[in-house]
Amino acid sequence: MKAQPITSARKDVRRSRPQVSPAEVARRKLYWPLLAPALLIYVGLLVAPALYGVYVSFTEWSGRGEAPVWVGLANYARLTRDELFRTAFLNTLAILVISGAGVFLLTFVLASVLREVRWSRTALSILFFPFLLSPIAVGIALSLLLSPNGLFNAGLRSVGLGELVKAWLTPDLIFRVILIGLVWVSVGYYLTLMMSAIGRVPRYYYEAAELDGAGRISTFFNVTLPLTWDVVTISAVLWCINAIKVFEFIIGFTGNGDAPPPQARTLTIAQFLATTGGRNPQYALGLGSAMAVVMVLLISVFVVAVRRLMRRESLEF
Amino acid sequence: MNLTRRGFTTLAAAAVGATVVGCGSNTDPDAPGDSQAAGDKFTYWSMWTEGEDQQKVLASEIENFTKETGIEVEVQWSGREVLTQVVPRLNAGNPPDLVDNGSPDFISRLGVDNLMDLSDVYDMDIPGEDGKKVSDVVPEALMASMLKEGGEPFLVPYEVIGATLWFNANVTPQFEDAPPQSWEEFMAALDELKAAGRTPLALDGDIADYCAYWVEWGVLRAGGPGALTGAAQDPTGARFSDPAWVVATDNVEKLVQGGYFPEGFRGSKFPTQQASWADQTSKTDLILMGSWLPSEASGSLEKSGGDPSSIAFGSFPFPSVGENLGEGLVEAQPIGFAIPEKARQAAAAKQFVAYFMHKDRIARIASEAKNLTPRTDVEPPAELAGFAEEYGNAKTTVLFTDGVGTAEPKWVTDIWQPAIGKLFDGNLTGDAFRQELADKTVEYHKNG
Repeated sequence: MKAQPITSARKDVRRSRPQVSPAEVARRKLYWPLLAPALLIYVGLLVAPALYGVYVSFTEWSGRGEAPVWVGLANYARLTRDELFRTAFLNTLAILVISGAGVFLLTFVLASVLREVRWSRTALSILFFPFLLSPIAVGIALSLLLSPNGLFNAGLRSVGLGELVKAWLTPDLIFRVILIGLVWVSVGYYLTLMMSAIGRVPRYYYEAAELDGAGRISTFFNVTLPLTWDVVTISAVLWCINAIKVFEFIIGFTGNGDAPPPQARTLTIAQFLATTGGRNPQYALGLGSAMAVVMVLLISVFVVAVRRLMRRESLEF
Repeated sequence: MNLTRRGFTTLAAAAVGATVVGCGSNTDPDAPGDSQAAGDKFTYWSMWTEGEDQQKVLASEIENFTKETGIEVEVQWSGREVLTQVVPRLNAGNPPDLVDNGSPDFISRLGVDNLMDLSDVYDMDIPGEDGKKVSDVVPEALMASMLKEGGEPFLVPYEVIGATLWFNANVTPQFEDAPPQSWEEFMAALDELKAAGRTPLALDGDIADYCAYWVEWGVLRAGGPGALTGAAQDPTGARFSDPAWVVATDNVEKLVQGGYFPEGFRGSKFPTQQASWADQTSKTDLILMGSWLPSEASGSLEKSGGDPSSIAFGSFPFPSVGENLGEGLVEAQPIGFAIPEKARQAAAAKQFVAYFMHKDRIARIASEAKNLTPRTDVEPPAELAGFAEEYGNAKTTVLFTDGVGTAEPKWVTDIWQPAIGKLFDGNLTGDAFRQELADKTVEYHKNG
């Protein structure tokens, strides 16, 4: 409401003094020349293709030679009937929720511990390391580690836990392994965000908590979490986006050029297979675009929901 | 502020418009076709990359061609994804004049409608070979997988790949002397090996297509060409109950349940099993695999410090199954040249294709690139001699997976491969496997 008087005041000034300042004239002159290139690139390379993708989702198109054929909502209707798409959708949600819970739980626990230990920086670097590597490479390395005669099983056998040895990469186990693998790959990143937030919290809050006899858990909930809430919120939003978009890790993990088994397919994998992926590409670009639209909607819903649920008065300190 | 916002909207709309137009397809019917006379140069985009054996052969023959005809060839060694690069050029109306790839890749990636009818190339005399036409040297049995809908060929092949049953004659010489002819003889041979403490069959079970070879081969041998693709395309799902399917899938069920494959073969990662077959750490004997096996297996053996000459590659045709309607059927997938519909210098490109089909030139694909050529009068590389014989005797040929991968790719990815996985995990019997395929295929066609 305050804006109104200021605007009218400015109008009054203009009316009384029709010539604008030279700086303002120069600014106006430069406005379009400076904005146009960025705008053109942004709209041309980002906004327009995205909108074109939405258009393609209402068509049937192989992407070569012939023009897209309008089919209305047929692609979306097909997705609702497609059992494997449903699996992919649920798998994506499972990653979002289950791996997400794992990532944040581990982040909070590690953050509480690392806050107190002397070699926390080194530990943090080690934990962050998987995030630096190419997810494809990590996926492949993990899958070799977990192959029937891989290091992991050999390790279990050598410490006398031979009965726990399993074929970890078989379709019935692979998704559970992926859920855990994703936690391992991701936790370093969120922990780094969390640690930098904790670093900003003045020490005397912790000292006061200690004097009050608060334990680790109580300190975490009463000091750390409230004072880092903004970063936790951002992390949660980032996780929603990253979890729905996860792709390379799974392709690397299951990868052999073939389509991953249905148990390990997510929305991005389903989209890859419907378009140019796998040994038998389908070139169903309309269907693939419909999946992309579903994915964007899903991300939007989760991001908005997370932001709403986690909205709090931010604490000043 | 109003002006600014309007300006923004206009600019944004213009950019959107420009991009959408750019993304659209060019379907200009007046684009130049093959009506032009042979120019003095043409462009060739190749599936091979610099340094590969096939690339070296082609590059050297291109040089000879230019010397002899004066026609310059502008080559781009693009690699396997070449067709992905051709698509945008096709949409823009200026594709390369010559491209090469496997016939199913052309079908799925470019679409045969976008390729020229090469009947006239088949009618051309091969320069330097007295009155021999291209059609004289490409076996009739191979043609079925290179035809457009109207029956015109879109491909001229210079290499053939396929899958067959491989063994190491140093380990199991008995297969060289007397390969099993029928499924019963085959099983007897496997049982004998098993009794001797061996695991008869090597299989990288993480690759669904490799598992599927076992079902496919049984179905095709028993039911003849099209037995797999036909069943996939039958909206009633009834063909999965055909006798060919029953016998073939029951056979595979016995292989899985009987422990003929290595332990944990579904959970290992390619090429673990193949490499263990090559260096014999797995004590496996037979492997149903593509004709690229000799080069892959020798390569992996060499890399791990083994001696490639410890493998004497031998192969024999998949034994007869059930009614044996697919007798003499060979899986042979042609790789060759095709010319996009809108190519500007098609005539010059065609001239080169006929030139390369000369026996001495194409023979270098066998002698230097160690692959099989479509010409049966070319001496095959020693390790492919068995497969070459099988190919030479072919009554009919099919593409890998009976071509269902290009005919119904979604069916393969969403129905076939998952079901194959369950069959090989031992979670489905042959009967339940057929039932699942039938049910899901009906649903698949309903969802169309």
